Amino acid sequence: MNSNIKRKFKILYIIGLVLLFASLFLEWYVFQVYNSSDKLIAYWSYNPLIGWSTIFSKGSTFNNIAKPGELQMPLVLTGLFMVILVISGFSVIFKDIESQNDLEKLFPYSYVNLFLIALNLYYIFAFPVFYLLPHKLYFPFLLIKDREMDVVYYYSIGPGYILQIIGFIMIFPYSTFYYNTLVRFKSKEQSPDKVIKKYVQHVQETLDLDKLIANEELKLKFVDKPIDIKEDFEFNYKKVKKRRAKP
Amino acid sequence: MNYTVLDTKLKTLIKLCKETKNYKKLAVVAFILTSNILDEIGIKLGIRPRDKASEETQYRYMKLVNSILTKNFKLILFKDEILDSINLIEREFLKRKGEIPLDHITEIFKIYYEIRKIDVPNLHKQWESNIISEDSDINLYSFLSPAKRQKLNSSENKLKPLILHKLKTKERTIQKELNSSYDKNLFESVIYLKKAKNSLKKEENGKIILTGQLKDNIEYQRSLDNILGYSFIGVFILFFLLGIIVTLEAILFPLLTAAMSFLFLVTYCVSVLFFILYWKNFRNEES
Repeated sequence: MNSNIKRKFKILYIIGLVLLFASLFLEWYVFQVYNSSDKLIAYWSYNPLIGWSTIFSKGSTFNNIAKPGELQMPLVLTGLFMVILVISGFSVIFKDIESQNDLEKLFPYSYVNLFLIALNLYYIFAFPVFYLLPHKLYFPFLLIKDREMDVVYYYSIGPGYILQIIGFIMIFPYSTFYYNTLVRFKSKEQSPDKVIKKYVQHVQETLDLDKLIANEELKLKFVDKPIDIKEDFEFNYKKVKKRRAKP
Repeated sequence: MNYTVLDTKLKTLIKLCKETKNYKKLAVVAFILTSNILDEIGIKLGIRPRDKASEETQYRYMKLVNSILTKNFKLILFKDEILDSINLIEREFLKRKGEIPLDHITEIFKIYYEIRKIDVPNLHKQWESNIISEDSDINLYSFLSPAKRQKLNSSENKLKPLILHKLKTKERTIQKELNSSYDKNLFESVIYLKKAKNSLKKEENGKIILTGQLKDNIEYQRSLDNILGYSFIGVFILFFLLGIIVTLEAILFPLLTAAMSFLFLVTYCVSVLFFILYWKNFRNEES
């Protein structure tokens, strides 16, 4: 069961990446207006790459009046999202965690995967909160009947945004697992030499010879009477004490 | 550590301290340097560092290192002369709070350089047969290294008592050589032989440590179940976030609160439910 579960989540991750990529070319938000006879009189859909678009011609007056305000989502971020998606896909397909001997080399890919999650979450959260709501575009679905004008307004998130949500559920488990596994097993793989070197540095008393030399030079130049040695070592002693106090 | 830079700085400091007659500073520096080098030696040999908090003297620490090495490898690392002089000088240093005569300072620097010359092997590193000198017949036992040992077949296993005897004899000979004059390569050979011996004994107990890729690691295989737990966390995060969005919308447009009530219930309930599911089923496994 164990070996299968990882493969299943890996496939799920790849499908998630495809869905996230596809979402960038679909509608994220749809705004429609129907008249009393259920005829569509205005239609606007939002996509992060091309902005608002409509199925009506430019000459349709009511449609033009009903157009929501520009959301101005940064295109750079969308471009970055696409690049991260490609790198992440590459890492999952070609840099399998199980068959690598040097886990340290996989760390950059794990950070890319985490960044992808962060961007994905940003879109899920920031799109409605910072772009839709300030323009009175309601989330996630709302139907408002305007009895004065005798029209019905439909506000709804589009398939692109829904794919962002589904994509998040699909990519989150594997990328978290990827990162956690690296952190967990990489720490065990650290070379003993490095660990020992770090530990030796940690326990050794700090000796700042440059500072001691500078102090002596100062004494030689400006002070006639000898200065108490305590001053020179007080700093180092405190430093060592502080370091040792750490668990 | 770059000893050339250290020595140059030390030379400058000694010169300056001589001019300022600040010998106490030199004494403290000498003791710190000796303490640091002793810590390094101890740690490399797998011994704890000097316990400065409980004021363990350098002399006592050196005695401890010697006793451990004698017990394990029949080796005396710090000669009696060094121990005697450090004992004498250290006692005076502590008693007079650093104000020791110049000849004692010179002596402690001599001891520092003497100890620094001792090049001990790092006991924590993985031992492979190729680190042993090619001239040495220790290489004959290299087939006992963990990687090669797995290739032994049953007929070779019958030779174990003989191999163990040979190892012990060889170990004793090297230990004798080592005690007459310290040599890092000889010390490494003794450690290697000891490891080979232990490795052979462990095999008798049926304990063989395997190394390889992650997929062969039993701990990794067990951790695979956590991936399901992460999907629960993912759903929890997602629905909690959607709940926050709906809450913000209700704050911005109070008229929508009634219409949003169902979404409140769904988002927060699902997030709490998945968090509880994760906590109950996966939290303990991860820790």
